[in-house]
Amino acid sequence: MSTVETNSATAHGHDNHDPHLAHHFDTPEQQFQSAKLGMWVFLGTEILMFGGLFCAYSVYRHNHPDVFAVAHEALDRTLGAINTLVLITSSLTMAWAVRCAQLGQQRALRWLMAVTLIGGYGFLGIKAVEYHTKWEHNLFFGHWHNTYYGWDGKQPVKGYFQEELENKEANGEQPGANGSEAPTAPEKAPAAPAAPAPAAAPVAEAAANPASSIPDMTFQPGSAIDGNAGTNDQAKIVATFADPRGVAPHYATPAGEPAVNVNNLTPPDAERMYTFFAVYFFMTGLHGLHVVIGMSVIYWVLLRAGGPQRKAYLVPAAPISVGLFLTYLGIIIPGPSRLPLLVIGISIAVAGALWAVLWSTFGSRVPAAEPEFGPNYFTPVDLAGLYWHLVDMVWIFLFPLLYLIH
Amino acid sequence: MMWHSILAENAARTFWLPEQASTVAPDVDNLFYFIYWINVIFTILVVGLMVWFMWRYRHRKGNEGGHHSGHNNALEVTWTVIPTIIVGVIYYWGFKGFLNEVVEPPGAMQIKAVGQMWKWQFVYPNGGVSDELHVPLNKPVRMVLESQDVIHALFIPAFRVKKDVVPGRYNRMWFQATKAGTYDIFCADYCGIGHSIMHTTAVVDDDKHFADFLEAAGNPLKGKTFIEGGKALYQMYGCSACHSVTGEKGIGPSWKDVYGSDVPLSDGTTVKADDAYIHESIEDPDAKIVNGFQKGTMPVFKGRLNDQRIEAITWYLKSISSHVPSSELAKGNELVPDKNAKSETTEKK
Amino acid sequence: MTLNTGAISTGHRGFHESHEHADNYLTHDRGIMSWLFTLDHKRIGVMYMIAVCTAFFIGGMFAIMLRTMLWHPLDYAANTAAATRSYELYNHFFTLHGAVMVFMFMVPAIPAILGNFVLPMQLGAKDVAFPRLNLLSFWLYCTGSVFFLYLLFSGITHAAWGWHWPGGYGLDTGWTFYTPYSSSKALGGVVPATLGIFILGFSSILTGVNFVATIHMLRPVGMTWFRMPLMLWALYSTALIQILATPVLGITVLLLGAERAFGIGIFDPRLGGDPVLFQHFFWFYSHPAVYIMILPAMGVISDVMVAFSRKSIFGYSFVAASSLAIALLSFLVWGHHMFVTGMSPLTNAVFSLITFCIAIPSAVKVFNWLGTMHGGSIRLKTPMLYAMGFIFLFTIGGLTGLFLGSLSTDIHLTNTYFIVAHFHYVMMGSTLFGFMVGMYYWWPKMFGRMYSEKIAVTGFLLAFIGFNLTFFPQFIGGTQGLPRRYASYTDGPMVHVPFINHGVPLFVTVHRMSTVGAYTLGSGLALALLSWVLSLKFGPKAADNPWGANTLEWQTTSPPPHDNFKYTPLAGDPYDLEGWTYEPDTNGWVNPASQWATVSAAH
Repeated sequence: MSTVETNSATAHGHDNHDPHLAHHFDTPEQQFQSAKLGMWVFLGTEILMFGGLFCAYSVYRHNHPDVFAVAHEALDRTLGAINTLVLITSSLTMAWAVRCAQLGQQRALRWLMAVTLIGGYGFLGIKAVEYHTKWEHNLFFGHWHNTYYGWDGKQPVKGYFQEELENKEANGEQPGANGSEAPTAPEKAPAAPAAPAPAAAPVAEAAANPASSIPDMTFQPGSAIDGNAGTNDQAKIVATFADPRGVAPHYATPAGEPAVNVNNLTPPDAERMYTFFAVYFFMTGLHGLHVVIGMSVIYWVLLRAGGPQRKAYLVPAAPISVGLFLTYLGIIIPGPSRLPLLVIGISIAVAGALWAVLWSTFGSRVPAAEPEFGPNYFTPVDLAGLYWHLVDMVWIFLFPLLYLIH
Repeated sequence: MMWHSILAENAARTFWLPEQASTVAPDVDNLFYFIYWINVIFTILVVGLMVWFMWRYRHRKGNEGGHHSGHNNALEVTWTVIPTIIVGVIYYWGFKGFLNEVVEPPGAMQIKAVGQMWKWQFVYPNGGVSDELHVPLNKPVRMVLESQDVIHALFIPAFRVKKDVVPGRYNRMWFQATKAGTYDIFCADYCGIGHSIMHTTAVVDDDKHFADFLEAAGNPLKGKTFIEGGKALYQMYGCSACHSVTGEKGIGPSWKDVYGSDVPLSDGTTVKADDAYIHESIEDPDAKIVNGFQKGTMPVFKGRLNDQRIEAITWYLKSISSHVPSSELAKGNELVPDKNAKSETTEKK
Repeated sequence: MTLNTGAISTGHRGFHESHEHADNYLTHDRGIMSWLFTLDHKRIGVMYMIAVCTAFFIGGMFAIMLRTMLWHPLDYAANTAAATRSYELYNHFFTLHGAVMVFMFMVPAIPAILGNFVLPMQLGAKDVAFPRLNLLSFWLYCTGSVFFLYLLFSGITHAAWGWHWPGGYGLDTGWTFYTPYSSSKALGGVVPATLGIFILGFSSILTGVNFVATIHMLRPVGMTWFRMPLMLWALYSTALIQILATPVLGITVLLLGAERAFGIGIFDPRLGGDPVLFQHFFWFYSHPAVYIMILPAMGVISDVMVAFSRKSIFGYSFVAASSLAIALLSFLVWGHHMFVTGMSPLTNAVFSLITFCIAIPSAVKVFNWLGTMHGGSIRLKTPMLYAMGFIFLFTIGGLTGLFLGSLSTDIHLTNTYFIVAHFHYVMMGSTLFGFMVGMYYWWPKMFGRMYSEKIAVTGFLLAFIGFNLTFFPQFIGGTQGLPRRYASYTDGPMVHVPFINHGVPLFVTVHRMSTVGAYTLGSGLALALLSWVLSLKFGPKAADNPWGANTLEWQTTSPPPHDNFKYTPLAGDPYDLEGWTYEPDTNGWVNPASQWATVSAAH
């Protein structure tokens, strides 16, 4: 994987003086290969961690296909596609930066890493816009949107789909009347996960249906009650053998069947939309956290590549860029968060700029130093690049799964 | 001890295993003893060899160092293949036995087991409810397992059956009891404070007794006064797991002296414990929480107790409350009217 | 790759070669900062030792407390405040015992303590591949442990004085955290626990990354894969499991914490979730985790068998291959913890089959160890005694696993005390005893002192007898139907005992024997600790090679110098014991042909 020649210093017997060679390695080549191996192994662990989330996603998708079909319509595909492009481009610039490091092209190295960072900010910015849109519509997760936990006993916030339902009820329409299939099982068990009416106290066990709490004792395949009860999913999900497993039966839908849409959600479905968003926010949130970590690592490498003589502006570049980013968010995100974001963003950027000016003017002159990265040593750039590629790869899987698949 | 289980269908309790009271128990026990003797033989073999080598090859003059017999492929193959065959046999036997436990014979009677924190309740085909499991002798029974809250597990050691009771799905298991008697039922999946007290019994009756039981279970209030009926329901529906009648506070407040008292609530207000309060507390327990207790602890009984049963429970509460003079208990001492005692209740569809 | 001829100092950190024998890694630098910020794998191993043994003590205390509570079967059916409080307390005790023992002791013990110390030295290397990552692993271990300490502290203060804490106090979900109890009903601090486990998981992952890279890249000339000591094969297999399985635990506990804190509904059926999904995720890590615990112990046994039988290992490649086979198969058997949850018969059958497959490599190892002993010259020193104990206990533990892999018997036995006995036999009887083997074996190398054989052997006898007394009766309790995690229990059947003219209530007897055994076991382990502590002050100086082993760590001083070797050893057959002769004066072994002797003789 390394196309660099073995350290010529070895031939001169100078490996003792290579400042980057750690004392427990024999040669720089050995050190570099170890670092790469370690990094790849670590990336493997990251993939397994995300793998767990992908597994949860698959199970959920299999169990609640219609929930996913409807809920993901709320995601903006264009923004997601732009994000994908941004990340792929930033991966390109990062890979290019590694090549520059190998060739000793210092200036290109610095600029390319800076562009990668800008790409990262671009991604985060678009993500912020997307998240903000969700929050505006109360498409969030957890106790803010389910009435079961009743976190502080207050009236729960009305969710996006709840409002639609209530509007329809106010107009005299029946939810679920527009061509959806009614659930075939007439009863619900007392443990039914069916959510109560929104105004009810936050206890889900209160079976809204007092007609029966115990099902007919003649056993009927397909009468299983589970999280799909009362939902549009249940009608479409039939047990493939005479043993209803409840939560994970086989999904079978008649051909030509239109997808359920927002207009014919049953109350349990409406509540369960938030399940999708739990998965969405968890996956994209964890990914976003990794983007931030990746950017921090690349920034640190950029600092090292700049050398001590460039610290005067590279170090303040951090607050300047953060400030500009927050300002940017303030501009594009409407609502009450606009003003604080603008104020804080501009203040941080200005403070950073001031720091840079003062440091350059009054800081002591630092003589130019040997560049740190070159054909002999570019390990940190390489490893940072690998991490960034992982971040990109995870998004490339996330995007189709969350945004594109019907 | 071991031969009993092979030869006798209804083996008594042995040193290792409880009595066999179901059709699958003998096969399970036979496999158990097969594995057991494999264990004994191999333990003696390994430990015996080890101890013998320890002594035979101990360090002493004349035995200073080892030969270099570094490996012996024939031996390696042998001691890989033989255990493989043995475990293959065990695997196959176990799998076959397991299939027997999964697929029930046709015509099984269905009984539903409801697990809640921390009491079992069994629902019979006629809608009757009991906190003890009654099953007929020599007839297959299919249990449908349902949970009200968290994961429990229904474990009947004498039948050699166990199955998790998972909220959000029905699990099922079946058995056929072969020996009349009373056997322990335990909860076998940790479910909180009362996990170890979630104990009840399985009673195997002959046909007549079982029929009698079904009838009594279907009409728990039949032939009883309201107060007696309420007391029976107190046991049957698991109230006794959390509410004492002695005044001692348990997982829930005690029932003693509640009726007619002023109940302090968790939000600081007080409410009079009258009929309406009792009714609401049973059907919607989280509406008003008594001070010092937790929301979400008590299961919801709406739909599980009809009005007449709630009335019986209310009378029972009155009878143990010092706020209600005995002169006012006259109605409670009347028999429950028969026409309402039939299960036109919400238990049965 | 050039061979570093060693005598000249290398690296930019300016290592000063010392001519004094007194200068070793312990004395090389002074001050607490030199320890907390050390990059020396040996010092990191010692710090881990202190932290992990403290965790063992805490987990052991919980075990003693819960066993003491079980002496009296509490008030079985009473619904009183006192009973409620007792049950609640018991639930906290068994949960914290399990969680502390598994996450803070069992997973790190051998790899982080003995592995850190020994692995680079067995490779003739100066350190692990990533020393700073190693230090980070240790700090992460301490950070994760802080969360558990918070749980302990909050639990104790709540129980004693009713203090209230954000996020809950103590932990009462069982170390397995099954949902929906842990996500909605638990009384304890599930969120701090999940955060703590997440951080501890990363400590484990980074150790695994380090070991994999070190073994791949830092092997010396001449040490091909099949010339490595078996300890390294074991540590390598363990590291593979650590890096592949632990991330799944990480994401599982994050999801659980989020569910508990925000109510997201991945595992809660009331919100469309699946509680059994949690079990799949959890056991996908936790089953390989038990092999993280046992594989290094088996590696230790292999090395020790050779040294104390004075004979090369029997069937080297089979033992090495079995470590890898166990590591790989361990990922395919997690469903055997879930046979009664309602998985399909096909799923159950597949998991059962693979579970039986994984039994075979373990058996192969035991037979190979016996083959090593055959024809040897066996010295029964403390490490060998514990190794014999290991074989006895692991045989029982492993064979009782057959009951549990077989579907129809598992239905009856799962979630009873049979399981408790089985896993204590393999986890405590095997892993802990393996840990003791390693500690006694490498203690002279680590600290340059020999311990009192008398105290050590007494401790062993008490521990061994106590262990069997504690856990063997539990097999019987389990088969007779006594479920686990029970704060209170019925008397159980009356069992007729010969020589006594009346029956004894079985469950009560089982519990009481266990409690007596637990105290005995505890005292044995306390004696072991005493033998180590006393040796530091009063023990005689240890020779460089007190056991006559040939692996590379014995070819340097005890304790080793800061950079491990004054002269880089040449790697040969790690189990070739010829050439070592016993020297009674130093109570050690010397080998005139070893490079160490050659060079020092030349000086």
